[in-house]
Amino acid sequence: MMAEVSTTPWTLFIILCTLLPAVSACASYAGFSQLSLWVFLAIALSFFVVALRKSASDNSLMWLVFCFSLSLIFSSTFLSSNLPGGNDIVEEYRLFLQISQTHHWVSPPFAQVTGSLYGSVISITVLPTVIATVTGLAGLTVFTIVIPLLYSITPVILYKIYRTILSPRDAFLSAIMFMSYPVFYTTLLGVAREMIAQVLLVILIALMLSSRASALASIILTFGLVISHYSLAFVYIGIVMFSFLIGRITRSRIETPIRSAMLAVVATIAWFAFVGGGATLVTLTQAMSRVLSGIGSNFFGGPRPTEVMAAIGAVQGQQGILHTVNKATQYVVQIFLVLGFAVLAFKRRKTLGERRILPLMTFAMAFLVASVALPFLAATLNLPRIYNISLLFLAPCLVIGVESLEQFRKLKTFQYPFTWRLRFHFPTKQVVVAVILCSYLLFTSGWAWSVSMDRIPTSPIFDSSRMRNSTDITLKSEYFTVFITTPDIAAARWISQHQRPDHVICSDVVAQDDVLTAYGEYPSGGSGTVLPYCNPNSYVYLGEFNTAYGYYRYATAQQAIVTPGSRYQIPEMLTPYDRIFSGDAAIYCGVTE
Amino acid sequence: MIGETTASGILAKSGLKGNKPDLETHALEYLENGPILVRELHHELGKQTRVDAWDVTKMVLRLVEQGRAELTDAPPAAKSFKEYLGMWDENLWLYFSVGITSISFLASLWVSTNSLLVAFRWIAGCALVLFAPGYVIVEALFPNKAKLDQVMRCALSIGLSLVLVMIVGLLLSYTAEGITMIPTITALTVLMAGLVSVALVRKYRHLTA
Repeated sequence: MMAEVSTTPWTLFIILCTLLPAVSACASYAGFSQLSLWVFLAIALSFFVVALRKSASDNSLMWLVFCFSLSLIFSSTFLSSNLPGGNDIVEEYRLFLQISQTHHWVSPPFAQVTGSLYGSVISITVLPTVIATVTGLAGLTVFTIVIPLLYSITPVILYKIYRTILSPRDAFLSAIMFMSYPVFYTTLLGVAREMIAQVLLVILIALMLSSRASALASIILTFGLVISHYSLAFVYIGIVMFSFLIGRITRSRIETPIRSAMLAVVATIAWFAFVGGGATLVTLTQAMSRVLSGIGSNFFGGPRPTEVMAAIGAVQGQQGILHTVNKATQYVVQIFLVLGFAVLAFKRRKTLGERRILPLMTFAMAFLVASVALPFLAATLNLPRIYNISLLFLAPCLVIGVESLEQFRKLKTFQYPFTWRLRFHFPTKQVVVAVILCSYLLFTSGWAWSVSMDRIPTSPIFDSSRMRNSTDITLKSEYFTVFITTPDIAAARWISQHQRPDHVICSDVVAQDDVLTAYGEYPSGGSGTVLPYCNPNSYVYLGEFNTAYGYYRYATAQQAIVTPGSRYQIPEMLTPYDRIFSGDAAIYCGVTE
Repeated sequence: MIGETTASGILAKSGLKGNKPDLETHALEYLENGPILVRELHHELGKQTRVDAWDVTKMVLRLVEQGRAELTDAPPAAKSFKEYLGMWDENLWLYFSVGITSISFLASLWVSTNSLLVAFRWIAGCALVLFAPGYVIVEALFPNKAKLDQVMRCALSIGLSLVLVMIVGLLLSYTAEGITMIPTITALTVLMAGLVSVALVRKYRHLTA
């Protein structure tokens, strides 16, 4: 039998998809948001091309997953040549700068790490230092390009994991489901340690599910995961312990990963109790006791995430047909995920792959339900990131859920042949999933709101100029939170070099947490006092946002909120004569006793 | 390996239709010249017509069942370690690892960040730090290529490299010099040398087993 010759349109499609990451990077770098809109639309429409194709090889589908993953990531990473603001990456970068200047990582004592847990994390302290030292790349490039590039292989490994239970096309659509949730290409790019840890976690899971597992590789990767990120180390412990318990309870003949579980527990406790200063374990126990006390004292009244409140209708959402379609899409995705999980869990004859992956899915579903149901849990752990981690395992449930519905339809066809019969061959399941995913990507990315010129733009990828030029000060503030501007960086660097030791810096909370941390190298939230309450002997740091619009930002427990306040009223004695640094950002040395 | 056989008579006996007689005819023509590895047979047939490895394997098994060819174990590919080192296709990983380590070592020492050649340092350095150590470990752990597919090999290589580099950096930070250029690149080179030696021995043993 001769090998099949690949058809030209399919080859052409793959070549075009190969070009997408470059187009996406150029569009973002040049600030050409119209092109970014086309890139996202092309990605969304390509789901249908794959769904309608009868057969496709694993290699071509994995390549497509990689191309889409890169395109989505590049659409965010190339938006600015500076660090993205409003995320952990600024503090991570500051710690990296410390290590690269002193050349030594020192086990942080307990007192120093209670404020910042990241000192005990090797993936953002030692690893970038080694990369920058050997390659000669700037630290900023390591954080904004190299680490996201490494992270872009995660969906490809997930495809391999999903292939143990799904067909190639279904595995492709499941990997797309994981990528479509915007945390993958927005929030997580601002958390370098989690990007590294997620890569290690999915490789570990792929090894765990594989029959070719190597004990040595598992040991090395487990240790790597532990020193890369405390939260994912705890999640991994939960996964392996849960898998072990499920294996014992159900007496399944699947190899129980007890060695992995014990190794993960011992390595985590050893690292974070002795080497990491113990602060991480203290934070974990504090969070757990907070959740437990919330269950006992204020279960129904305790805080729940905004997303959950919106989902149950407790928070008034925006009106309009597009918002209704968006809401419907979100419900459909959640319903199919739950349905797919239930179908798999109650399936009578499971394949070996399904029996292996089910404990992981059960853990992820339990984790997700707990974060929604238990007060304080989501607020402590950050719901979007929990959802992103859960999707690592739950993404295939979407396809399984739709498939179960299709089987239900077949049953109906048998009973009512005249109303349900289809007249032509049509890959219903894949097309339905593609429709859902297309809609999901376009809504959650902010594409739909950008194209429809919605009143409230949500995406820095598509709407950065609209956000900056908006008359709404909250949107302007959001822009200046996400984008750290060059004048702000210049001012932060200047003050860090010229500051007198007896003076502290007074700035608004966002500047203190972002630009002064990353570029002034002050500890996050520890550079001084917060506007408008400047202490005596303060320098007043006013960023571009403060000087141009006369507003400062202050923080609540949830997020930075803009509140009006003229810069000349902040400390009333500020005058142009006190200005010691000028530019779009300014520094005053006017608050003295 | 397929044993020697004669082409005459076989063609007369075969009587198959379609593509199969062509493929078998070509195969038997190669067999006239002496024993040949199935893999090499696939390679030779692939020059004339598009055929996959599975089809060739099935055809060979069919010929063996029909008694028109003989299948025996291939002898060890290399009789000595020296001979093994000269096997180009078996040692691509070795050449890659040694090449990347050498280039990166030299580039780190001699190519400054302002140089026009800095792109070489970026690429070679990234390959050394983010891929090569794990790649060599994977070669050592899975000397049989069939045991792990290429994608998993690549993913494991990246994952293991990240962890090894973190450990190396951690150990270096407890030395007096710390994580500076020369100790770091030297440590990575030594690590690579050690890993390559282990992998080389394991792969050689696997090949001659």
